[in-house]
Amino acid sequence: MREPTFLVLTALAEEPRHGYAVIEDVAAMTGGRVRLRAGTLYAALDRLRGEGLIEVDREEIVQSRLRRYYRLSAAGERSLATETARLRDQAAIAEKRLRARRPELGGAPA
Amino acid sequence: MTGLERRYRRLLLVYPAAHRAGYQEEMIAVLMSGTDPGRRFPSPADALDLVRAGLSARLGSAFHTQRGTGWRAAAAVVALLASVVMTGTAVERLIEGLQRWAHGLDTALLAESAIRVVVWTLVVAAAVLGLRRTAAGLATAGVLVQVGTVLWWAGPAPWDALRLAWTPVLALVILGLFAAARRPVSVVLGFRGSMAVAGAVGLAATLHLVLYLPLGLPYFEGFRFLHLLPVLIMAVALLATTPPVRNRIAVLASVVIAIPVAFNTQEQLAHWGWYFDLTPGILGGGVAVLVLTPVTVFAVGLTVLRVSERFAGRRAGHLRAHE
Repeated sequence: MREPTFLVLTALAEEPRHGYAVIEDVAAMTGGRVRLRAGTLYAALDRLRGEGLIEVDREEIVQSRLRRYYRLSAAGERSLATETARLRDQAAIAEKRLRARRPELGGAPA
Repeated sequence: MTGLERRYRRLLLVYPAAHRAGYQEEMIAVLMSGTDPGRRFPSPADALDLVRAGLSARLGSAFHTQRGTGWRAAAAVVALLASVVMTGTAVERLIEGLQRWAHGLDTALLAESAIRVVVWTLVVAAAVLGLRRTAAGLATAGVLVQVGTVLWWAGPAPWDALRLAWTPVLALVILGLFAAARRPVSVVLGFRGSMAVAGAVGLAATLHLVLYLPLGLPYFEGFRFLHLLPVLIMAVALLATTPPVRNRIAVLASVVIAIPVAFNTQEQLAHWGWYFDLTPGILGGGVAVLVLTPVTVFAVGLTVLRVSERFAGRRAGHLRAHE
């Protein structure tokens, strides 16, 4: 799973959101590091919809503009859980190895 | 529409038509929300991102389905147009009722048609304002009023009741269309399209009043062709929608048009005017046509649509999957 996909699913895991709210939430989650652009976002949304990982929740018209809210489907929830577990395992391995390096670096005889 | 929005729309032409039908309006909303006030041109990074994503959608790598969007958009448009037809027929009866009332005849026609005009005008107003649920609720009232009208005339004027029998069926179809629609018609047609449809309806009503009411105006045979003008304007407005929506509008509009046309054709072919009494055969035939026409026309339209889209998909080099 690519990072934009993971972040979009994470944004929708909290509550149904429309396109611009997803962009804002992803920016907030990543401390401004990732700011999705419309092309990238809608490529991800269209693919996730096609795969059944997200669904259309509802549509609203705000100031004569269409807002379509998307929500995480049951399959999307499973997919996000699997990916989260995979990332956690990898992070745990990295953390363990970094910890193992510290005494080596710090404790090396002068 | 601002210059910036127009430029974004132009950029979105990179996407395949089916993708635009599904996402263009919400993408425009996202793009416009994300720009600083005062910006006149899309940022190069945004433009590049759109072109890249659009091209990959065209190549099929990022393009899967937009389930339902085409049908729901088409349903919104056809529901409104069919409601306009219902309003129009009710107004025609109202004028007839007013004439009878002016001549001191009964007021039943006046009362019945006035209720229908009010209900269907409200349906049209709700649909134009984008109040889909309200429109569906009012269309339910429309179904009840049309059924009530047929029952009302069944006693005193059974032939009149039979000649109105297509109206509850069309009302039911309209209710179904409003229930299926998810987007306001103004969003589907855009501002110019909506204005063109409104203009066409207004023009058709004016022409009808001028040509057919006894206003004492001179009449020329050539005036008849003027009726093609609103039809032409309407066609141009509907052609401006994206191909998937346009094709679905064609299928649903055929169903709506087929109901009164098939019923009136049957009336003429069966020479109803020759009969004095309503026989069970005539009634049964009428009901059969009313039930079979929408189902058959929709099935045929759906088949033609599926086949043509499969061919179009092959020509474009990717398989389009719709609802």
